[in-house]
Amino acid sequence: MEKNTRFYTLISLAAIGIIALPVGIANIVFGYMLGDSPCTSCWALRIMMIVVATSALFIIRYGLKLKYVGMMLIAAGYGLWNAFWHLGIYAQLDMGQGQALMILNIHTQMWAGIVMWTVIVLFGLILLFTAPTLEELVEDTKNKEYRELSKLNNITFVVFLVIVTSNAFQAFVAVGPPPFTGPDSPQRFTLNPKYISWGSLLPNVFSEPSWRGPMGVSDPDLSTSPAKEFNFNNDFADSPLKINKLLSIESKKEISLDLNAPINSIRFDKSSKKFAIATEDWGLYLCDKKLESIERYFVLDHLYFPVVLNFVGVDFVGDDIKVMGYNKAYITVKADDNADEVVGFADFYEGADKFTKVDRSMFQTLRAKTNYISSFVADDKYSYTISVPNNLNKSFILIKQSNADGMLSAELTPEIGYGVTLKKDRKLGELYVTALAYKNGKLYAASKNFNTIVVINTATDRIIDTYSFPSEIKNIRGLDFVNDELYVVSYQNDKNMLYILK
Amino acid sequence: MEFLELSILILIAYLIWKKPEKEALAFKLFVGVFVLIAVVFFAIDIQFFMLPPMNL
Repeated sequence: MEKNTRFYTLISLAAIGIIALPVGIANIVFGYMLGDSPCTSCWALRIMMIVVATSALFIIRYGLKLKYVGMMLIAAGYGLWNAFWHLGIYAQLDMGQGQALMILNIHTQMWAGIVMWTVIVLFGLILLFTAPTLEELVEDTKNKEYRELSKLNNITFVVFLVIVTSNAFQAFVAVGPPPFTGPDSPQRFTLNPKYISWGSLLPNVFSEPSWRGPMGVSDPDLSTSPAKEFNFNNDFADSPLKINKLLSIESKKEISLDLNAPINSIRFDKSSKKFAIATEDWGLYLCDKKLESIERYFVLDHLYFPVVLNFVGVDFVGDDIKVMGYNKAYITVKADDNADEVVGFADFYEGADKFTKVDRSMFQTLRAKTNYISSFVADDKYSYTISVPNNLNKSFILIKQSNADGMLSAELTPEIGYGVTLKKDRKLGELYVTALAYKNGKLYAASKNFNTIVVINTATDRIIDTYSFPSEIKNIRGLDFVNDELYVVSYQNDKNMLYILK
Repeated sequence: MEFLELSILILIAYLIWKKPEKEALAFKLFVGVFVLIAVVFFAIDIQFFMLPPMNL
């Protein structure tokens, strides 16, 4: 019996704790004293805490029945999802940014998650150390439908009713009666009817449900898994930009190297007279100038941190080689005849004895956060890439990363420069850049869509010229200058084709 | 809807406290209001996203 008393005392204290502290402080201190009004999600979190406390009231009155424990755990679980959902809106903001007030430098929506987590842990501890045995439970409610309440049990009900009634009053004033719902962006709490407005988010429910919201973007176009939402058009006449120069094919040949997957990028190193080839399946190959023999190669273990999704770009940066994945994650390596195969085991499936890892990191962006990339190039100072459109976001964003510290240096949509015309009602985001080259301060961005090359001055960030390339090139994946000739690689008809343009 | 949900929870607490013989009614109301709370918020939320818009 003594154990019973201790158990129900602890449950009462826990119920008072959740009602008086998070729910009571949010209502009285934040709400009435500081004028803070909950948003839709914050109301749901607060009410779910009250549901947890209600489960505790059932236990106090009717004993430790599994259905009440079940309701408490379901409510805490729902609250955890709700807090996680709410956290997601603000988690990627800078320090201190967010919604509503902070306690100990943490916003209220995060505190709700902490409360729900505490409910589960605390209830588990109470059960572990003080839960009565089955015999004790039966004895406690023998010949009775419900338990007699102690003084503390009664206080628990009083605290609950006072605080929840106060919350109901705040809800009526700030939210209104049904069918009005809590606002998604609340204004401060007031009793002045002049400033009170009620609205409902219910009319459109279930109309456009979303699984991941703005993060639900489609994968980029790859040679072996084409993007489903794009019908690529190889006719430059339909390009959103007026074309200034028409390039033609001077020669072409098939690249017959023994590679592990289609070529996704190509780069020529003037000093060593070698090509670097990046393949779709994480292969990096160093080849001779004629693209006839492989000097050395590696295949990346792309899952080792950070995850590098399929390679889309490669370049020589000083003595190193930087290879980029479509998720803006990259590895920088150095060709090394004395590479330690054991050290390289974590990064390389093959070639650990031929290359040493220098760095493995990521571009982190803001404007292009929900875009993948399909190209990459570097100069002495910066690494460049351009976003590709997806099912949700049709932007064209040039990203510059400092080679010195690996941090974002600029992220912008290039302006249309003198002599370049963007057609009426057309957008740069219609282009799909799958290959990038750099020469004399200019970026040459080749779009698979509309077979268009955009020339960007990196000093002014303006598009200063436009080229087209023949529609015979269906799937451009690599672009670079070799002795003033423009080399293009396209994977089409199951072959890696090399075109030299003039 | 929040006002309605809280009002029902107050009624449930009152029933448990002062009318304990009505356990079945109180519990049915409890399950009902939980479903109401969960569905209303879920229905509103999934118009934005079901999972938080982070790099999950």
